[in-house]
Amino acid sequence: MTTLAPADTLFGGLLTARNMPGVINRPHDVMVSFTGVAKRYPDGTQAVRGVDLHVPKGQFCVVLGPSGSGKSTLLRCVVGLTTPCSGEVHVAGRKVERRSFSTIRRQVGMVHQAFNLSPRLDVLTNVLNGSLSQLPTWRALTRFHPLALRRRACDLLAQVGLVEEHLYRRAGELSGGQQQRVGIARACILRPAVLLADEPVASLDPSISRDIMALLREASQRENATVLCSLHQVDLARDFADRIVGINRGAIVFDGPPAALTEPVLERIYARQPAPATATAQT
Amino acid sequence: MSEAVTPNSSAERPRRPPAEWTLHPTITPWMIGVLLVGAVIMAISAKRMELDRMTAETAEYAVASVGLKESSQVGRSTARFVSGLFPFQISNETEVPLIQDFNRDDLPWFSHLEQRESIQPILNPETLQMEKVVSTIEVLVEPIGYLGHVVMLMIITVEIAFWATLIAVLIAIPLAFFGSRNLTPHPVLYTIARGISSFLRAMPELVLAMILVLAYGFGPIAGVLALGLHCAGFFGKFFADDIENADRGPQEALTAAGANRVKMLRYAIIPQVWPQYVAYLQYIFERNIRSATVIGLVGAGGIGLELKGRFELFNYHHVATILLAIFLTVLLLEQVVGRMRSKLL
Repeated sequence: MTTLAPADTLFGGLLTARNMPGVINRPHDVMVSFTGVAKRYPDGTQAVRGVDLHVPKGQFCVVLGPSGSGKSTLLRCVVGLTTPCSGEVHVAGRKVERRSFSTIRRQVGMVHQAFNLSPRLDVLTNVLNGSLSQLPTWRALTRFHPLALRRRACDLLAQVGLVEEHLYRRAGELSGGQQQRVGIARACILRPAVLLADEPVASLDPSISRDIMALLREASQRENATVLCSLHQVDLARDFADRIVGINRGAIVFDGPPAALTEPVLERIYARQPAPATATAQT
Repeated sequence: MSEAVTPNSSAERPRRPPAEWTLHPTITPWMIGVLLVGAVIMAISAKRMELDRMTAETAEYAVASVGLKESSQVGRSTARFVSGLFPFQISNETEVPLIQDFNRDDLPWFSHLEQRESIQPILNPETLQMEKVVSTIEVLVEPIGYLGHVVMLMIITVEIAFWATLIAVLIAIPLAFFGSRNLTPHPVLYTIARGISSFLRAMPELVLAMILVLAYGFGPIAGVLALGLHCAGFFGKFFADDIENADRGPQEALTAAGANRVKMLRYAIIPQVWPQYVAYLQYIFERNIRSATVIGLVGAGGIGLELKGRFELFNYHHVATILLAIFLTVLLLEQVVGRMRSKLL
């Protein structure tokens, strides 16, 4: 297959990327691609089963699904926090494997569900932690961050709506919404090509969730980053995504623009699974 | 997941009414057996440890102390020692002929010379009779001389404890890094690091000090090293256990951000475990001050040697001063360290 579908046609429901294997050979079109990715945890849980997904550059792609449908596992495979049992993940044309971890982690920023900040460190240091892959070890050990980097951290904090007073407060003292703002700033500090957001608003209340999603969208546009965001709230997915990938029991059951997310589709995504325990503890 | 599992497992046997559910007994024959065996072993051990005599003599002392009995063995011996303690020995007197390079014009601070007459029986070689001869001896009196001496020794003791704690921490850092499952680069290194920690903990510091005195000679070096090595074992284990138990969230975030193990330790783990580490540090430092007085007994510097010497000469006034100095030092440092700790957190 030599002719390639432009990014737009990738939204054409289930019959998109899976029918276009050639797309993988064009790294400048596709930022993140999963090919036949499957993951079974040692406890026997089949979290992901044969996922093919190709996210073009600059897209805000939401992975939608109920808790335990394998969304987190999928995202974690992108930065090597989880290794798939079979299949391959590529980021900007580079295969994710032990050898390429450092290169890929440099290009990918990640926002976590539980924020995962170091609560006893100040906000500034937490943001700077996003740049640890680039920082020489001696600088990291002595906390000798270059001034330009610290200035960038301040800019990012201002962009996510924090003020100077927050700079040297302990991250653990901030509210949940503020902590996730710090998380977004941390993920953006190295101008990542890909932003992963693993249930970024699952621990937040609805109005704050909306603000955080807006910030994420804003940040991705400013940094020109591709976003892969897992969510379980349908309304947020509808409002913020360019493309929604519905996932149930580890398999893609829907792939299309938000407008195509109809009631029958939702039923398919959120269908209660029968007996076999496919749900994962990973969210 | 729970919805999926519950029907499966319950499908295998018919549901019974709650009144028929099997409950585990509170006391089992096994428990009674274990208790009985435990009691027998303890009884044998107690006999070997003379706990019966301990009980009898303590009871006798208690009876005597409320006046129901004339006196008790324990009471008499304790009273003899305690009455010997007072008054505290503060001053120091030295016979001038015993002082090397004595300079009459340059006496130590706050000191003066006194003439003392002493009557000594001397054998007269001509008559072969014992004769009493009155001789005058000049003594150098330092009113707070002994106190000063004890304070100096106590400062040395605290210094030994300080350096020992520092050395222990420096040795423990690599032990903790390699000895924690989540940071160690290889399982073999993990086993080696844990093994070294256990070995160092298992070596009694007094034995270590005796060996090190042979190697480095008398003085504080042996003390610093003995305490440092012994406590490195403790720190190595405590630090590593805390690293293993630290919250995984921040570690995962930094892994995803491309941080290596050292950076992760610095930014995800140390900030979390820091309060606990400071607590260990405080405890081990206090413990080292107490231990430094003990290892002085084998010549490893500090106040221990002085304490042992005075004890064996029955100089209980001096012993009292030393014990008071140790007590006050520990009390004082507890306050100081406590304040520093609140600053460090």
